[in-house]
Amino acid sequence: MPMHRHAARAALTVVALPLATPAFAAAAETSSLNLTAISLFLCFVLLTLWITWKAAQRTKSTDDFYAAGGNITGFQNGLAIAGDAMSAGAFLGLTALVFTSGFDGLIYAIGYTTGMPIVVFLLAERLRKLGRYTFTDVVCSRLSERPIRIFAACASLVVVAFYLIAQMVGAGQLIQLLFGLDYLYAEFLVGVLMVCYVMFGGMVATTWVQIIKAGLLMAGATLIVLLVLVTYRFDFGALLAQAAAVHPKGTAILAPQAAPKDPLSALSLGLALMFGTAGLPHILMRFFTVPDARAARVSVFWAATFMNYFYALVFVLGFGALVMTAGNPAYIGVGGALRGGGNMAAIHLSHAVGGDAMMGFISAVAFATILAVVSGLTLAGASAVSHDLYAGVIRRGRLDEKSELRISRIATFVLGLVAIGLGIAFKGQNVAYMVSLAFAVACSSTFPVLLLALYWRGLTTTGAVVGGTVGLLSALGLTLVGPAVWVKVLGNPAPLFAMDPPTLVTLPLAFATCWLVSRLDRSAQAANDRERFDLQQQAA
Amino acid sequence: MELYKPSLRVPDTQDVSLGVILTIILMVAYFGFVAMGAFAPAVLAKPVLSGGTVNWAFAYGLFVIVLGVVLTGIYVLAVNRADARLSGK
Repeated sequence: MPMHRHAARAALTVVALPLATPAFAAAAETSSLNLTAISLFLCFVLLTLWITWKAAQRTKSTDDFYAAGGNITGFQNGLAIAGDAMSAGAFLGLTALVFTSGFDGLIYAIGYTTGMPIVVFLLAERLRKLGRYTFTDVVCSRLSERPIRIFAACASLVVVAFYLIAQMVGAGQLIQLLFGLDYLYAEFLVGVLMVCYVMFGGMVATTWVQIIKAGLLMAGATLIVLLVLVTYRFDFGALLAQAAAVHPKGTAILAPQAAPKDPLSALSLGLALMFGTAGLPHILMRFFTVPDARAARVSVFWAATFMNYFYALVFVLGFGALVMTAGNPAYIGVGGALRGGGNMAAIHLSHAVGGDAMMGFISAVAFATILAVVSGLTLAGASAVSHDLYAGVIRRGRLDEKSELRISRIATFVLGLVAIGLGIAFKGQNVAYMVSLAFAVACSSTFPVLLLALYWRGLTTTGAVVGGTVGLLSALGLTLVGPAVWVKVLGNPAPLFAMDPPTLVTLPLAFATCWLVSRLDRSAQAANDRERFDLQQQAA
Repeated sequence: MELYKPSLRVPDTQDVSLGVILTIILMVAYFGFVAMGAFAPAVLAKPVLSGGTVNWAFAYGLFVIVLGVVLTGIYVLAVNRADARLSGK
């Protein structure tokens, strides 16, 4: 049981603190232990793990996993879809972004809200008509399977890696802050927990668990927002005025600051946020798992409503955190930086408005959500390796389930190690920003291929693979030499490619390459690809 | 839309054009917001009510968020109705 380890670690911390052993000496000065918050945190995390375990026991088939046995309403499924998409990374990262840079942080929140409607307008109905729910299934239904599987698995792994970084950094800082552990130990703890969670639970992010988590996350965030607003008698203007008064940049934080300085990056970010959701490998899977098409459509409406409501809360959370923690040495360290790392603004805010109990509750909800998202991502990554690459490509389908499961476990373990390494390398980066990089890669690689496969007769296998790969490699390469990695991780003074994220270049490049290569493709495979599109259209 | 065509393809093409139209509306609204932030930040920084602190940046941002929900609602209603009409025939 992973939780015993966890509890033991907490107990160890309590014992070790008075002794001030070297490992905990640094921790002692960053935060003192908060027993109320910690015990509430442990209670809530244990409770979610218990629910997960119960749900996993009752989950017998893949149908159960996604549809919770088919007796789920559109409203409930909407909550589950929202639960998949609302990561705690977004909650922690967006609040922190507003805390540091004001309205510029809200630009991210607003951008995220446009993602789900685009998925509904352009993809959802077509996917339902085809009866396919994952990127690979849709594209393989009309193009040659093996090359597409290789490309899809590679793209999934890159997106999963960026997404994982965000969650690992968020979880690591949370554990560091709450238990006073060193960041390095916190990362290992999260990594070990994550691998245990996936190994013993397997299918963890069941529909019911996602419903409960989405509900708790929204309830907790709403409660904080109400407590902040009560202080200002529900006058949002007064809150903003106070925020401008305490921030060193003054009223400049109430309007966009970065966009006027770098318009190209602003447009590029807008593209990534709007179309990135549509390319995420783990987001499309829960669509249309309710009994009929009508309920399915109602569920995406609820999903969009919940998500947009959640992101709208960031308006108050971010500026609330700025005002409520200002000048308080319990939250702000000597240099003016937040205690426990830059992503902890929301956690400090919960303490400021609701005391230890609220902090314990919010931390637990955030941590449980991170664990679920991380496990979902790890599963997606592991299945890309075991199912798409190993079973489908290397063994060409001649493989028993047992060895596929073994490969999947090995992949989970390796992904856990990779996640720990990345979490340590990207320490201190804002997690909402890291998520936007995952979006940039997704909307330059999988999104163009998916959209063209659904709408354009002319797309051929070679065109899709070459175009998608060009988009994937250019997005990855330009991100690596951009500000996030080249400057902040590798420590170089200036980026080689300043546009951040690179979507404005890579998205059109991917579309253009898909189009050009498909047009020039005169092979027999290409003729077959086009013919299968026509057959699909007739069937639909 | 009023024309009755017996072909099964009719609702499909309607979905596509509705989806594309709604996508374009949302894109115009959102990229209008981004472009104003990039090229006319002074306009967004003007207060909505004179003397107030809430400026057009917040109002426009909230508008985009609400618009996303409203357009999704319109799409779901329209497609569900078309579906019901089709199965009724």
